[in-house]
Formats: sequence, structure tokens, C-alpha cells
Amino acid sequence: MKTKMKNELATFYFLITLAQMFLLGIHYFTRMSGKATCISVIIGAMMSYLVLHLLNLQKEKYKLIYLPFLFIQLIYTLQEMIGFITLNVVSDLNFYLVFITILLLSCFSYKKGTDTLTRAGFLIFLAVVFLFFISFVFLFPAMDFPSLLPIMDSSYKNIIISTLAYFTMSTTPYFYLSLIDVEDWEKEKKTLRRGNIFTHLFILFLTLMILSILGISLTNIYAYPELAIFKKISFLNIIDRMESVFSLSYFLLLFFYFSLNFHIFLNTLSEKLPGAKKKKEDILLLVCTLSLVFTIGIQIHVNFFLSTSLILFLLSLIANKIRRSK
Amino acid sequence: MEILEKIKKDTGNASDLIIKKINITNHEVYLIYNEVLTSGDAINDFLLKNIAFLIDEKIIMQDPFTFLYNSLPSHNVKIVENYTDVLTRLFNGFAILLYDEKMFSMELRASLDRGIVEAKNEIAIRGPKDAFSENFNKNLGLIRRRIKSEHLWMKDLEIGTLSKTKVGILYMENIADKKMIEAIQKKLEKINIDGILDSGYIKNLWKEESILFPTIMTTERPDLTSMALLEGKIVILVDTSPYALILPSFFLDFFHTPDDYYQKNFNISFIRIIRLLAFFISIFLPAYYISITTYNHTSISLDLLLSFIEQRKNVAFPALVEALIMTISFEILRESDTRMASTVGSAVSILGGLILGDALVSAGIISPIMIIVVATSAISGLVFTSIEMSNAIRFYRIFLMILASILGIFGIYIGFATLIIHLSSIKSLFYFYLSPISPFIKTEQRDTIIKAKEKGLKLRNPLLAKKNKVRGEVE
Amino acid sequence: MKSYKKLVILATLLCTITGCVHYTELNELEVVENLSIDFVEDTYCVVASTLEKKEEITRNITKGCGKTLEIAMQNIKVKENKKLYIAHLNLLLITENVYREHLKEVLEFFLNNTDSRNDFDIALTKNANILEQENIEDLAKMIKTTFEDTATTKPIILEEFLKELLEEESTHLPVLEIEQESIRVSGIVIIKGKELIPLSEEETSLYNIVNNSCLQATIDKNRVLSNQTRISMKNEQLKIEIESMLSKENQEYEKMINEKITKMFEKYKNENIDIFHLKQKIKQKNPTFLTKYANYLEKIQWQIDVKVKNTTKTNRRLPE
Repeated sequence: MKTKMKNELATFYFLITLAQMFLLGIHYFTRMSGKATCISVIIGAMMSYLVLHLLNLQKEKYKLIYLPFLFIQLIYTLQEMIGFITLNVVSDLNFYLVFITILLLSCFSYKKGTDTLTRAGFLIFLAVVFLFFISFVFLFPAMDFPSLLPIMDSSYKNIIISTLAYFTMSTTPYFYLSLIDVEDWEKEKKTLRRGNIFTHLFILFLTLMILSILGISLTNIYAYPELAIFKKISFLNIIDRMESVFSLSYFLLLFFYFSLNFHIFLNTLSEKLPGAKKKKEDILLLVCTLSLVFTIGIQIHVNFFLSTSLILFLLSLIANKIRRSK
Repeated sequence: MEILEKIKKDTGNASDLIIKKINITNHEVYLIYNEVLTSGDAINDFLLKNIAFLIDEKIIMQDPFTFLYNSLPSHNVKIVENYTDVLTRLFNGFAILLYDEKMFSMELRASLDRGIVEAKNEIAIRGPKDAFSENFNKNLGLIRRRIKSEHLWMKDLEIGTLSKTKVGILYMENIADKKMIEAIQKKLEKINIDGILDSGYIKNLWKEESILFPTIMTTERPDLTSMALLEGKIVILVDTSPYALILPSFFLDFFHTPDDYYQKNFNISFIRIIRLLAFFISIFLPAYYISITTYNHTSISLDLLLSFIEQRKNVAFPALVEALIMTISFEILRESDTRMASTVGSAVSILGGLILGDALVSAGIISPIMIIVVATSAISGLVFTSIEMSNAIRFYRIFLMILASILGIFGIYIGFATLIIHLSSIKSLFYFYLSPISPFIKTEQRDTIIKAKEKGLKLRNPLLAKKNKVRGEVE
Repeated sequence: MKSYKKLVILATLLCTITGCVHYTELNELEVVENLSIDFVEDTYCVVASTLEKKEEITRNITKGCGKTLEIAMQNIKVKENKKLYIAHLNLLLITENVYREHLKEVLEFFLNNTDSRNDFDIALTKNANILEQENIEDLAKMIKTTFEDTATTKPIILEEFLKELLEEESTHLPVLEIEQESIRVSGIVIIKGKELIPLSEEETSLYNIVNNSCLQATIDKNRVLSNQTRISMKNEQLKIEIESMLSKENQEYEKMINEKITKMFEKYKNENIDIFHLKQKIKQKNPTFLTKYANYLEKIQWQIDVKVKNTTKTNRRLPE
């Protein structure tokens, strides 16, 4: 995956981490550790930063072993996207229509090339940060910070599990970052450190915002607490009832993550499988397999998704070690 | 003479081709010129008068060819070396003097253009108002007047097997990238066509990466052209075309006007934000209206919802059909306004707009709110001077309307993602179209949407300027 | 061949698209403003007041009954086969019966309904036929205006209600009743488990003052123009500081308020009811107090400081 952009690693890290956060859902953490999710976010972030410090991030090659795990990521992301659209955004839509549309869009982005995805990723980053910033500004009056106290309302065991889950989630992006071909790795690593801190601060503030507005019980009840807060944005009857506009950021993040996995899957196929590069046949194969999976009705559980993310990161670490020892 | 017979035969004995035989003290000299392309007054005043003087004074010429070459007053005198040159110069407004199989040409062009007039399509509120005309030399002169530097170089090309149109590639030698210039020259030399009648031909033959968004800017303003040259961009001038081409052009360049550099920075930043808003309103407003009235009714507040329900009661068609009817009517009105004679045009279009809008509402074909939505989006799309940008916006508007009618607000999400991916994939020459946003160039952010103070605009775009990256410094 | 293939794919896609368009036109919606739910003799009875605009806004009443809430909603007869639309619901009224036995079903119905926004007011009503009264007005606005003017009630939205119920196990609901053929807002009920404890209007005003949720109030003919309450805890002692601005000077006000609040607290303390939701505030300031003392209501010591700011707004007095 070749790119000629600056700050690409930092942007990718932000987008992938936030997408994973939304795919798991904030209630995944709050159901375990309640308000202490904030503490597990802070500790998880520090651990992830330490890993970045110790990790010697460098260019990796595509490997066939990643394919089954990427496939699971694809199914889970698609499942979540369709669920989000049919439940939250437009309830009258046919399931298959949404499915076909998302796949067509991914094929369109694949046709334009993986370079395009990195440039589009920066625009998505700007759109997401802008939309969330506007929502932060308008939701500030609704935030009730004293209700966050006392913050330690969960057992140490649950906080540790929640921290480990967050740490897993925030280290998975390193797998994706290793597949990017960057011009100047040393310079990019510096910006990546800043990107890492920015991402975790963003997620921490988002968590605080959701918990202070909805409270712990509503966060655990709602399927999409990140979107439920958008319903509370109300300013002089002008910016009112615009949760569907702010939900665009949610969709863009999930779509970016889906496209990224889509591109890596197809690039691996085209590079590793014998024979001439057949783009169209690869796309058709992947689309048909995904359609089959959804028609049968296979559903991926969230813990399974998190485990595959962890496996991807560990596999890339092992590959890195083997390469270095050689 | 053989050559004269050949000229007559090749031009089909054209009635506008004049061959005049002149006897100057026993030397036979032939004057060949095209009556319509050369200036009759110049031929009389500069050629025939002086020749008559020579005849009257009975001046003895030992080498008549050299004598005439040196004595006849003309600012552009060249020796004609081969037969192809003869025809080329004849049809370029040159007069040819033939003596004993030797020829030289003198430039005595007739002025067949409308002179330097005010820009009609790119109006300046505050700034120079002169515009290019169809004369290549005048256009070049307007640019050289603004950039009086020896570093403004030009490469000449002749494109079109029959039209033999003069095309000039202008660039600042001490700023622009050589690779870019060579690439452009190579691409232009590859063009194989019988005639170039306007710079638009070159634009179409260029094979832009996007069929929708323009990657080459066309302008009739010499000040904008000069600004582009000072940035390190390349300008292509075409003879008989009042539009210059500027390469490479980025997406945000179409949001800037030359007036931006003649007014206060604060005001300009505000206006640029308005232009960006107009871009989004133009594309997304009708689709958003369709989605909130068909799928996402929760997005409307109660008072508006009751008002819309009342308005839509009498309407026979769904929202998409209403929007398409309005959009198509607007486009027909716009097209007819352009083609109709100016004396009748504006009155008829105003009448058409009022009657059409009012009549459609009374007949129950569309609702009043739809007129507001479509009119606002259409007017927002006309903020851009580039007609191609307005056309691209129109395509996306209709595409998004169809998506919104099928998928609701999810259709708008898809449209937005498609727009982002499409814009990110386009290249202008070999630079990314969305530069300096994506790829992000920190120094250029001072002049994208927000315009910084002059102190912050010292550096040129690092993509384009490979030398003299700081303005004001000359290597 | 390539363009032929593209055409076939495009035609197939168009077929899928055209068959999947299920939108609802605006004029097919019947906008519900208020909804009242009652449960009588094993059936849900739902009364909906819907809005229509011709030149002015008019309200229509429709009823429906059913074994479950979904069936009752479906059975509501709407004009011209329109679809009942609850996204712009302003007020949900439930009876005591519904609260005690069927609150979970009602809440689940609204949480799982994709149209519902959960930001509508919820209130308790003693009369199931409250919406069938003539000349019904915007009831949610009536509750809000009463609260802002006199603090004799306190509106609450469904989300807040649910949040307080789940976290604090204690919340409140405003009460609407019919009095002499007109609708009246009469105080609030404090909810504790299945118990509903009605508060009088004066008690409601005191409740609002202590919870720092109102600006203006009227207590025993004293008009409070602005009010700010701060609750702090130091060394197991709760301190309530109330700062008020009155329209008319009253030297007795501070003492009166202190007495009234203490009396109200003691009255409900004997019934083991934390009337001012002090548990939540103690939990924030000193969580160990709650773990130390199971019966915190008995152990709590508190101090009320009432200050009256100088009246600057109205200082014109007529001569005696």
C-alpha cells in the first residue's frame, strides 16, 4: 500500500482505533467496568503508547495467513453497519439493498486504488473531527460531570479486563500500519506518537461525554449510545433533530474500516495467489462469499471479533520477530 | 515564375490571394499577400509607398534582394527558406517579396480581433477589468505587461494539420518544475488533429482524469493568468481563443477568484467559507429535503412538519419527481437564457421563472417548499465561474437526489463517501486534485479557505515551485 | 461484449432498486402530540391526541384498545389509513395502574420503537380520560410553564425518568388531573419502588428549591425571584446552602424555610423515604458514608443555611 502523504500513520491510527471503538461499542466496556471505564481507557492508552515505543514498526508484506481473520473483520463490520443503518438511520430499508450498496461502494473504492483510500481517509478524519467537535460544543451544557463521581464503582478485576480489552483494541491498528509503504518511517513514527496521544484523548473525552450525559444505566441499555447523545443536540431550534447528519461520522468511520480490510484482502489475493493479477475475479469471489455468509445468517459475536483483532496484531509481531532474527 | 504558378495552383486560384508584379529600376519584384489577412493600409504605407520612392528616385540596387530586405520598414522581416514556409506565412498575415527565386516575408497583419475588452464572464468587483481577445500577440502582451521579467519563457508549438494554430506554453523558468513543462510539451506534441479552433479543443484532447470535475482552469483574465504563472503553474495560450488554460488546477483553486487578492483578508475568508457552504448546499440540499420528507421524518421539527404536510396534500407526485421537474425546468430556463438574444432574454427568463413556478404550484404539480429548495441549490451552484464545476455539481445533485429517494439519508452518506473517494482519486497533471488538503501541505493552509495576512503568504506552493520557493527572493 | 455485460449488471441492479422502495409520504402521517395509556380489565386503552394543520392547528382525539400495547396502538383508528407517528410525541400520560403493573412493557415499547425519540415528557394522571376533555391545549408546555413560574411541579423526560429509576431507584413524575372540567397540574409524586408518594404544591416547591432545579417559586405568599442551592459534605455532616432573592423583604423567610424543609424531611424520614434524593449527593461527596451506615437517613446530620439577597428588582413601595 503506497502512499505519499504526511501524517498518514497518525490519521490511520486515529481512524482505525475509533472505528474499532464504535464496532465494539462503548457499552462493551461500561457493562464490565461502569464509570471506571475512564480509568481503563487511560491505563489502556498508556500501555498502548508503551507498546508503540517498544515496537519497531516497519514495512511488512502481505501474508495469506491474515486472510481468514480479515474475512471475519469484514463480516463483523458489515453486520454492524447494516444493523446501524436499519435500526438507527432508515428503518424502512431492505437489508439486501443496504448490503449491495455498501459492497458496490467498496468495489468502487477498490477500483480507484488503495492510494485513494489513504487520501480519502484524511478527509474522513477531518469530517469526523469536525462533526464531533460541533457536537462536543453543543452538548457541553448537557454534560453533568459531578454525576461521574464516584468513579471507582466497579471491582478491580472488571477494570483490569476492561483495560485489557481497550489495550487490545488500540494495538490492532499497528497491524494495519505495518502494511503501509511510507516514504520516511522515522519522521512518521514521531507524528504517530502524537496521533496516538490525540486518539486516546479523543476517546477519553468521548467516553466522559457519553457517561456524563446518559449515565451508566442508559449507556448499558442503548444499542448505540454514541448516537443517542446526538439526539440531545439542540440549539435555538436551528440545530435540532440533526442526529442523522452527525451519524454520518459513524458511518464514514465504519465504512473506512470495512474498505481498508476489503483492500488488504484483495491486495493479498492478487499478490500471493499464483497466476496473473485478476482484479475482477477476486472482487467477485469476495462479494459472493460475503453474500453467502449473510444469506445463511452467520453472525459474529463481538468477543470473537476482538480476538481476531488481537490475533492479527500478534501474527504481525511474530512475523516481525522472525524477519528480524533472520 | 514556377513558384508563383505553384502557389496559385495550391491555393486553388483563391480570389483573396494577390500577386503584384513591381518593376523597380529594371528588376522584377513580386509582392504576394493575402488580401483578408494582411492590412491593406500597412501594405500601402510601408511597402508600396517606399517602393514607389525607390522607383521615383531611380535608386540603383546592386543586390536588390539584400537592399530591399534591409531598407523596407517592417518590424518582423524573415527570410523564407522553403515552400512550406511560404504558405504558412501567407496565411499568417505576412506579405512575401519574391525576387529571382529568393523570398523574404514581412509581418503586416490585419487586425481581425475585437481589441482589448472588458471581461464578461469573470467579473471583477475591484481589480483590472481587461480580458484576453482572439489575438495571440495581444494576449501575450497583456501577460508580459504584468510580468516584466526575462524569466517568463515561452515554448511555441503549431497544432492542427490544417488550421496550423499557434499554441504557446508559458512558464516562469526560475520557478516552475521542468518535468511538468516537458510533460505538457510532450502531450501537446502528440495531439494529432486537423484543426484547433479554441483552447477548449486542447482541453478536450488532454484526456483529463475526471469526466466531471475540471482539472484545467480556463480564464479570460490576464491578472489571474499572471498570478498562476507566479505560483509556478503553466499557462497555455491558443491563437484565436480568448481563454487561456492554466495547469495544474486543484479543487480549491475553483473556490478562489482574483478579487480575493485585492480585498481585505478577513472579508475574503468569510466569503470563501460562504463559497464552500454554497458548494455543499448546492449538492446536498435537495437530497436532504427528499430524505427528510420520505424516510427520515424525525429530522423535521413539529411546526415545519405540520406545514409541509399541509403543502404536500395537494401535490400529486413524490418528492423525487417534484425535484426533477424543478431541476430540469431550471436548466431549460438557464439554457434558453444563454441562447436567446440579450434584448429579449432576461425579460423572458424572469417571466418564465415566475409563471412556471407559480403555475406549477397552483396546478398541484409541486409544493412551494420544493421551489425554494431547488432554487437555493441551483443558485448556490452558480457561485463558481467555471462552468464545468457547476456542471459537476449538477450531476452530483441529481445523483444524490436519486440515492436519497431510494435509500433516505443513507443514500446521502453513500453519495458523500462517493464524492470523497472520487475527488481523492483525481489527479491534475501528476498532482493530487485535493492538494493542499489531502495530501496535507501545512504552509499552503494559509491560503485555502482562510486567507492569512500577507506575512503568512511568503512561501510558494512546494508542489509547484521547485526553485525560488520564497516570494520576493530571486535566484 | 464489455458494454453488454455492464448493461446486464445495471439492469439487474435497477430491478433490485425499484422493488425495494418503501418510503412514507408526509401526508400519510398522523402526528401524535399526546398519548395516554391505561390498563383496565386485562386490556391496554390508548388515547392519542393528534395534530392537523389546515389554517390553524387543530387537535383530534382517537382511541384504541388491545391485549398488548402494540395491538392497542395498531387499533387506534386514524383517518384515511394514515400511519400513527410518534416521533413528535410531546407528552406521555400513564395511570397509576400502568405504573405499578406494566411500566416495563411501556418503557420497552418506546425504547424499541425506531421512530420514538425518548425526549418527550412523561406524567402521571389520575383520570384515564384526561385527553378526551374539550379545548385541550399543549399539556407539556403547560407543565413547563407552571414549573418555571411557580415551581409547583417538575417536568421530566422519559430518558431522565428511566435513568433516575435505574440508577437511584427513586425519581418523580408530575401529576395532571381534571378539576371542574379543566386540566390542572397538581404537584408531583415521588417514586420509590412501586410506591407513589404524592407531594402537595408547597412540598413540591420546597423539593425543587433543595434540588436546585428551579429559579422562581412561591412559598407561603413569598415570591422567590431567583434561587441557588449548594449541597456539600464535610466530616459526615451535610450542609445545604440556599441563596434566594425575594420580591418583597421578609425577615422571617430564612427561619420559615429552614423549618419547613426540616419538617418535610422528618415527616418522610419516619416512613424511611429519602424525599430529597440525598443518597445520590452523599454518594458523590462521601461514598464511604453510605457503606459505613446502612441506614444513612437516621445517621445523617445536616445543616441548612438560608441567605436572602437584597431585593433589587422591585423596590418601589406605596405609602402606607
